[in-house]
Amino acid sequence: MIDVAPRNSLSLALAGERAKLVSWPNGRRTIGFALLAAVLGTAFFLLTVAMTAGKTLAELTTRQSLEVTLMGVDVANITVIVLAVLFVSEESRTRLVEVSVALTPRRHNIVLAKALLMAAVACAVAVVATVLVVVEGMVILALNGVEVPSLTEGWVLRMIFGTMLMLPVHAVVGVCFAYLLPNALLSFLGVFGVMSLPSLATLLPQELGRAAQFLLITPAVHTISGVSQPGAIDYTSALSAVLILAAWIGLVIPAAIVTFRARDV
Amino acid sequence: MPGYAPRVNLVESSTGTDVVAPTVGDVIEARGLTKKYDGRAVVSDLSFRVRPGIVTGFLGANGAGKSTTLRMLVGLVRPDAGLATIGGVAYRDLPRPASQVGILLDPNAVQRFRTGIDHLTWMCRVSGTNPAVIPAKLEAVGLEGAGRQRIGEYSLGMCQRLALAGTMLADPPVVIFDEPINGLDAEGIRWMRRVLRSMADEGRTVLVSSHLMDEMEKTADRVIIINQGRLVEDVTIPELTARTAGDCVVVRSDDDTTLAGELRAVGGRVETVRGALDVRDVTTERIGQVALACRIALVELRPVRTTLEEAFLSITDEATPAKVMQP
Repeated sequence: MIDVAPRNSLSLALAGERAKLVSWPNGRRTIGFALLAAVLGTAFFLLTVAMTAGKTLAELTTRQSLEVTLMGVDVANITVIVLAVLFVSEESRTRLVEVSVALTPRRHNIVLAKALLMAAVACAVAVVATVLVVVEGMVILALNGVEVPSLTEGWVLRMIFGTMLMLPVHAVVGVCFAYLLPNALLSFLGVFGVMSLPSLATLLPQELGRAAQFLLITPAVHTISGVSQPGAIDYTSALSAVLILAAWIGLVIPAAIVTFRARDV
Repeated sequence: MPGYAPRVNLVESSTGTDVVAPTVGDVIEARGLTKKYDGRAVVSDLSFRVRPGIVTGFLGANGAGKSTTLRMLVGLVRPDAGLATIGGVAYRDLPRPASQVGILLDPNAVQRFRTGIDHLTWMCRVSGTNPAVIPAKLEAVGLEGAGRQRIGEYSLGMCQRLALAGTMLADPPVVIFDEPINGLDAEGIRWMRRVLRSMADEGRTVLVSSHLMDEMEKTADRVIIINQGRLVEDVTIPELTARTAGDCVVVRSDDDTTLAGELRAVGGRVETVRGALDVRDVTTERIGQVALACRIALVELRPVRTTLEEAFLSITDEATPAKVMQP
């Protein structure tokens, strides 16, 4: 056929999804909002630490001050989940999914392309948001006469990279939940629920609550980032944490593919 | 309003690169397609073939199962039974589906915040087509000035044209259109008719669904008619209308009474209807010969032709035990 490049379906689907994202004004706005929300979130959490933690900034340990600084990335994370869910659900709502499936009839390529693209966007947002909030946090901490975490220390870098990891993982889960659940609100609440389950798990009997931590994303991310230390209820070993995240990705993507394949569009 | 610019031939594109000419491999085939919703069969054991080089109309009343069938052909809806193939291959197994089959199912299946160019760009990306073709395609469908407008500002007719441009991005040899004239004005309908004709003349396989019989009579060469999800006819329009008319000839003369008697004598069945004779089982030529032999002057000698709509109503009435649908 004319002008048709011989490429595999996944790379074509990825190129198509990228073109959709580039021409999605609300997507661009949401990404911008995620970065703004990260900056505002960090400022808010650092400047209200006396109310939320009952301590002044100066009374926080260096680890605690970095944790509070990185809370802006958590805010960006929630925004990225919204982005990921809407990237899928808006297509169903507007019935553009019919055209997408007609052009890419092997539907698993659509799911994989959306998941990969959202993971990439989430990584980019995570990097930019983290750089912004770390710089912002250092400025605020320095202005308040508090010791600034050194970026050359291993635990600092681990916490930063571990926190950044949260965004692509949740973005992929968001994409998949949008295929698994019937609408955007339920999908977002589903991902938010998964994020919040560790807190709810603490209400369970201790052994059960502890076991539940080994099934959830947030404890795994906290373990990788070092936010959870050995002895904490949500601490899993680093290997367990990696396996937990891999298992989540390895389960939700096939589940989304099976669900999407079975659906009449 | 510019028309769709047909190519000179199928092996030379506007960019000068080679294309694959349509072959027997471009035949659309449905075999025993069945789809049920809530236990009710919307499409039932439907089989047909669509060949290249002609416009094939896919007719049925609203709710007859046309759209569901087309969606099964291209994998949007999973059949409960049966198989749909294009060139002998299931649509999802085609190596380059977007470049082999152009599909226009719903012109409103767009995201209205995009511009027409943005919409076609992502379609090009996902089909592996060079986006450089977009201006030519927009011009071909008469949207050259509207490409940078948001689709939200488009009329339904413009959406229909945009969707058509999308189907033709890679010049596919097979096209499947569901109610393509919906939303088009009179000029747009004529334009669409020319588009479909030029596509068929280029050798493409053209399958067009519609519930508008007048339009299909002007556009299609062959029709597949379904009723309540079942195949009723798969036939050329002349065959269908001739059969429905029952080879009836209307005759008026200066002595109908004598002529009726003579025609009955040669085996004709004759009825008097509204001052004329409806003659069956005797050819027009033979009627003329009988009248001449009797020295009867003929005032009118006219084979009865039914319209496609009359033929459709006639055969769907026969096929429907209790008529519940409106065309």
